[in-house]
Amino acid sequence: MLTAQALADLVARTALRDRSAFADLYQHASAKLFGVLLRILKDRAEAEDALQEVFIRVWQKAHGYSSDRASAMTWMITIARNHAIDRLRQRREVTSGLDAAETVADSAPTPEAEAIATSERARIDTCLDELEADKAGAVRSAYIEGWSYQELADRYSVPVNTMRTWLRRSLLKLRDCLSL
Amino acid sequence: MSDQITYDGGDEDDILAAEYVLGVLDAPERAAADRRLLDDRQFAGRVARWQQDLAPFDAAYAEVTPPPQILGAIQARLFDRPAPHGLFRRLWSGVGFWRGVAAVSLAALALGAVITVYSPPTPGPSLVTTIAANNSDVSFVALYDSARDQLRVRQTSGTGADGDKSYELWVIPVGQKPVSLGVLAAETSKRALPADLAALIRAGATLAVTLEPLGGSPSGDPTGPVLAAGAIQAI
Repeated sequence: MLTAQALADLVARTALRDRSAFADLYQHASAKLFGVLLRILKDRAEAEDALQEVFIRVWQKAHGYSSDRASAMTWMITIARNHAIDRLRQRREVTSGLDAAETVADSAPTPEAEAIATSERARIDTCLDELEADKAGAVRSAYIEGWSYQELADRYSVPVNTMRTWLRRSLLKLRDCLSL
Repeated sequence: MSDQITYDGGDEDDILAAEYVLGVLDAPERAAADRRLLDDRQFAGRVARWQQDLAPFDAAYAEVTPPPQILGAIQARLFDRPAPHGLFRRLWSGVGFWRGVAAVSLAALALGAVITVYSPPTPGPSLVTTIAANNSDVSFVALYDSARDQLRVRQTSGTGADGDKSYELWVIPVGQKPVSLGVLAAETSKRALPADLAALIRAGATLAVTLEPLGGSPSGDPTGPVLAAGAIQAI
């Protein structure tokens, strides 16, 4: 796995229209981004289509990436998540995802990803621990699975307005904790 | 009892930013937030902070190798496009200073895609590029006289860099790291290149301008956003 700096260099060279750097970037980032898209879209063919779109956006938006704001991988995952969630929200049938959820296995993150995320995660975990377990779980699932308020409400068997209130209160608490 | 909660303006925006990053908003709400991100810097800052705060969740995404044909499909979509001549003519006619340099082949970067335009070449020792980008209003034209190793760069749109910033010019040989050609201090600049830098100015290489701290990048590598880039082509 490349260091964060090496990956940021590939994004910078991609911004400068370096096609070989773009191909290298794909080699090093596509598996992670494909994992993101599969987890959220839960449909292999659609995830493959989305992966093309995501890398086209990476090529087009690379000049806007600045390494002092986020790691290159975080920046690319943000593009992938946003694209996948946009696709999800445009699907008519949101409930079909519930059954399909089991078809994509939860696999463990790579050791490298674990190591990189450890210090940051400690902070968010500490803050999530201050929430009730199901509310912390709702925040986490919303992010990782890309669930809408309606899907969260179905999963937790509460009315959607109640879920909205829960989540918003949880986010305020989380923000206060994170900014300490 | 209502389920509605009211917050002060900052809280409301911060919650909206978090909902956007989490992804729980519906399609119209997401579209509205996307539009707002374009011109509301404070909101964009809130979104960026939530993205950073929640990014540790990304560790939960396992890597899955995609099928091998996808990279080729992406490259075909990005790079195998016919040249739109109309855009070229508009770009070119806006650049009065360089109009004397007729009949060139020139590559511009606009709307996020590489647009290569070809006109019949005439004999001459020079290389030229426009350096332009979609989401900044700064663009440049560069002309390299290989007989005298002299590079001339002229800014054709946009303002100069803010007081504490500089525009820095780079050449990126194919497959290599950017090499600085120095800071662009004035609207028009002319510089004689030493042999080692002159050797890098070749058709196919890219010229780019980045925004750097005053006086140029302290590290020798680009650190700021790329404002404009264009491929070098022979006249």
